[in-house]
Amino acid sequence: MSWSERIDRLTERTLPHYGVLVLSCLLFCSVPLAGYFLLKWPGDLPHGPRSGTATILSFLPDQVLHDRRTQIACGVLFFAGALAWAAHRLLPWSAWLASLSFTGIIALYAENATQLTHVAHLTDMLLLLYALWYHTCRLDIAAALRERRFWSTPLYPRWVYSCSVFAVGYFYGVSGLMKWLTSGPGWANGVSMQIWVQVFPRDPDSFWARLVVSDRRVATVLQWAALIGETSGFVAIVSRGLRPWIGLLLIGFHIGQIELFGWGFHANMVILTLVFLPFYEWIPRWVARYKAPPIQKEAAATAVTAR
Amino acid sequence: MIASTDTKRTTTGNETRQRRRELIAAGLFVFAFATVPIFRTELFPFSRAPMFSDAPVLYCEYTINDPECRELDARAFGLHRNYWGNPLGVGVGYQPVHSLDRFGHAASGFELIAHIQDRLADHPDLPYVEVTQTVIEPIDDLHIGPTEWMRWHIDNPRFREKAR
Repeated sequence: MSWSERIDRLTERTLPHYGVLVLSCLLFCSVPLAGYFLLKWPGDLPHGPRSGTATILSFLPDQVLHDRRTQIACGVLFFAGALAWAAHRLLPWSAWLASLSFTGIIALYAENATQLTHVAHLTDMLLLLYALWYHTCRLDIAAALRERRFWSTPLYPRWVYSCSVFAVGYFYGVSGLMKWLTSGPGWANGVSMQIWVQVFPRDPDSFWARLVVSDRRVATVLQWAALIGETSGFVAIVSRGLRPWIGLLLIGFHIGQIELFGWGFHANMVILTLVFLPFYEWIPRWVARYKAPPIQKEAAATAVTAR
Repeated sequence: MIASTDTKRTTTGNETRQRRRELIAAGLFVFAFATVPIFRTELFPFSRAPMFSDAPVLYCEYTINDPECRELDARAFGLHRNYWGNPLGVGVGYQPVHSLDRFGHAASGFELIAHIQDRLADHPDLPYVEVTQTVIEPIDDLHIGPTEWMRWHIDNPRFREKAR
């Protein structure tokens, strides 16, 4: 396939079921994330001098950045925008309202914090990407909604899926690359893993925490799995065949993280499941099977089994 | 006939414009997502995701006590732990409160005494403090644990009897 054909393929559209499923999950995950960052306002904690540019909102005056009411306003706008977006109202403005105000909530948290967490980065990026979808296809989406044919009209462009794959793969790939560049292959030495488990345990008496702390070989294996899984994010961008396996490895990596440290990367796990496992191919097949008349349904089931 | 051709041309033109718009949007998204982290470690929502890219092989725990053996707040003496797996002060609005503790590094006795004597200027009521430093690192091929335990008696050069 030539490059121009590949680029042309990016604008091909499928029925919106997969896109709406991903969007629903993103909105569903972003609500507790927004709640967390709103409730954990770090502005009152002791801190040192001001850092340099931290977020895309750093250009705002300090009076705005450090006023908690700004973040609360973002929170109110986010919840209103998310509800309207989920209900397909006020499009595409509700999409922008939800995604940009979610960005605002996290950015304002970071602007007032001394410590950063990366649990919301991917969710935010995908929300912005999906707002971009609703914006660029707003006329077709509006017409389909008006004429009550939203679910039967191809409205989900392939580029939204491809950009999601790129965003997820690149995010993890860069994180893995940073480990190679900062510490080299010695990163997976097992000692650092044991130290982190000892310093940041979710439950120091859990089976896994005790196992890692008591046996460096286990810690080393887990660290290598994490390093290979993260760095393979780059491979997942280009290899459709390896993508689900890398997805499973990264989901396992997050399960391990949550079990050992309790870090809230649940939204990333949902994103990995929907973007790296073949839901993009499965959902249209399921929809076709569900919509087909009984005889065709049987044929479709046979065809799926035959594959 | 002419009208029909014109209509078709208009539709095709619209579709082409629409496709171009979508591809530009996708291109901008990918470009921003890929290039911003090259220039900046963190600029939310862009990130190089540098969490836990270091590989510490030891860390220290500090406790500080007054002459009555009461444990004092380590933060008040800059002995608290700022480490959170991410580069300190990057991607956030504020630097953390300064601390002698650097994760992965054990401060020398000289550094520790100079640091604490400096901090004791804010505590003229304390004639001295006792600081313990425990170094945790590999103790054998399988485990980590405390390997060094040191205690310093540090006099306060700015002690004022009447401040007590």
